[in-house]
Amino acid sequence: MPTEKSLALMAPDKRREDMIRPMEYLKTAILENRDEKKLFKKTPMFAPAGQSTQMVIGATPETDLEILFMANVFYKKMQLKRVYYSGYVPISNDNRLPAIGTPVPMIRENRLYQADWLMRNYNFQLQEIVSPENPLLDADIDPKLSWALRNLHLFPLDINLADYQLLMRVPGIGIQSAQKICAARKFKRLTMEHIKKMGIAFSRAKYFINSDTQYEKKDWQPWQIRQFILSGVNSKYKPNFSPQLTMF
Amino acid sequence: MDVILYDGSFEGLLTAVFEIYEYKIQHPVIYKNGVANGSLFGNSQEVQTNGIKSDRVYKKLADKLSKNSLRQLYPAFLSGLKDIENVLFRYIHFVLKSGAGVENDVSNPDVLMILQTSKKVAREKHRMEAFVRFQLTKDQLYYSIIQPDFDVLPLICTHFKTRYADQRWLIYDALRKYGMYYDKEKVEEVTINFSPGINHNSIAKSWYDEEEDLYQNLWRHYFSIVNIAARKNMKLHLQHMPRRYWKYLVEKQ
Repeated sequence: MPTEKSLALMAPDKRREDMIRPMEYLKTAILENRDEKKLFKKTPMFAPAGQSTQMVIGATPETDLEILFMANVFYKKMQLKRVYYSGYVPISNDNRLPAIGTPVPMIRENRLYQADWLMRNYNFQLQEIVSPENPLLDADIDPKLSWALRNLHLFPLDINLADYQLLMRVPGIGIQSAQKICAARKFKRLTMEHIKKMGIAFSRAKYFINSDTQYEKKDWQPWQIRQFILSGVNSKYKPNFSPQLTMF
Repeated sequence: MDVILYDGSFEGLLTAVFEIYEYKIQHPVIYKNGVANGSLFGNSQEVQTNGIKSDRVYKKLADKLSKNSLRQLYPAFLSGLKDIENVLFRYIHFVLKSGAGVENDVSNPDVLMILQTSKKVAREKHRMEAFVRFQLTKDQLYYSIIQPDFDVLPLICTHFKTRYADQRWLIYDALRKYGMYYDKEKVEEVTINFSPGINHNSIAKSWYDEEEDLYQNLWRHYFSIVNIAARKNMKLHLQHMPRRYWKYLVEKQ
């Protein structure tokens, strides 16, 4: 459970400290082991895969902000390797829990993982993904795209000049594509045609990048870009969040 | 335009590359022997595969290319795509005439092609290490049929050789009509003469070891138990395990 409050609600006999203390012990032991390894070659291994934890999503009323805040604390303070998010599958008729038949929050779980990746691999700060003003992640679009739409003043980026760290923040360009672009532009000025063939999600990225040959002159508003991108995707989760009722 | 014919092996292709440089052939087009019907207007010459020549080309490439890029060449060749020989030749030519690091220049179409093709083949290799289902025959041979998109058998052998070192096994490529047989010592390429029109699945049943059916049932049962119905996600499932592979998977029968 992500917070103390919901732990008290769901499992009154468990105490949060009892969970945190072993984590702290593991953290120091892993760090000590790592230091020791630098000195002695034959130091026995200690928890070589690191520590991880799992949070149940959707059983208690936490917002995405609270969940990601906890995850961020775990990564920064506890040196965790991974935090896993599992959508709650209703199994009991207890009135503290969502009723049986409530759909598993798969889309939310997916968005949380995407946000998690942004924090761990893309050097995003927690405040850039969720804030007290919008504590929930957007269900329709991924957190990277919604960050980009909130920060349109940074775009479009020139693919031949933009910094690597900024390049991988472009929706549709991942770490590998950003590396590929940075390596390739040493040889030649890249055009949009090159970028298209490289295998990035050009249908998203085209609103956020340009090169000297082609310049996207239109000044789109964030909601317009959102509309364009959404009209092009067909999410497998659509039935889960479509406001429209289905007949069958 | 000069047509160069090689024997269809990777060494043969590298020998062809060597000879193109050796005889300073200006506009070479490389074909696998027997595939092309020969060019009407132009010379056609056949290359005799030569280990010394192919090694020299490979060594030169090893000097020029990073380890990762060098390792992409053979998988890209195994893709067996139409005209991949000429893409590989242009790639090698480009690498040899340019400075270091040029394998990252993805704005060059040949570099991009090699990068993407080798990735496709590597993906197929990874799948084939997972989608092989062995069936025990009466003479204690573990037998398996696969039908990969690319010719990945040479790539997956080491994996199975180290993993199942104490068993005799045979992996047969039903599309390319050859297999790899391991006799607890070495892996050999074998071809089997099936009579035409044979149905692999039905005939195999008569060769089974008595306990084979029991194990297959256990395996199917295991899959039905670990499945979480509430989290069914068919699209993701098909992404990891496309339908074309189901034919030879026990749990999908």
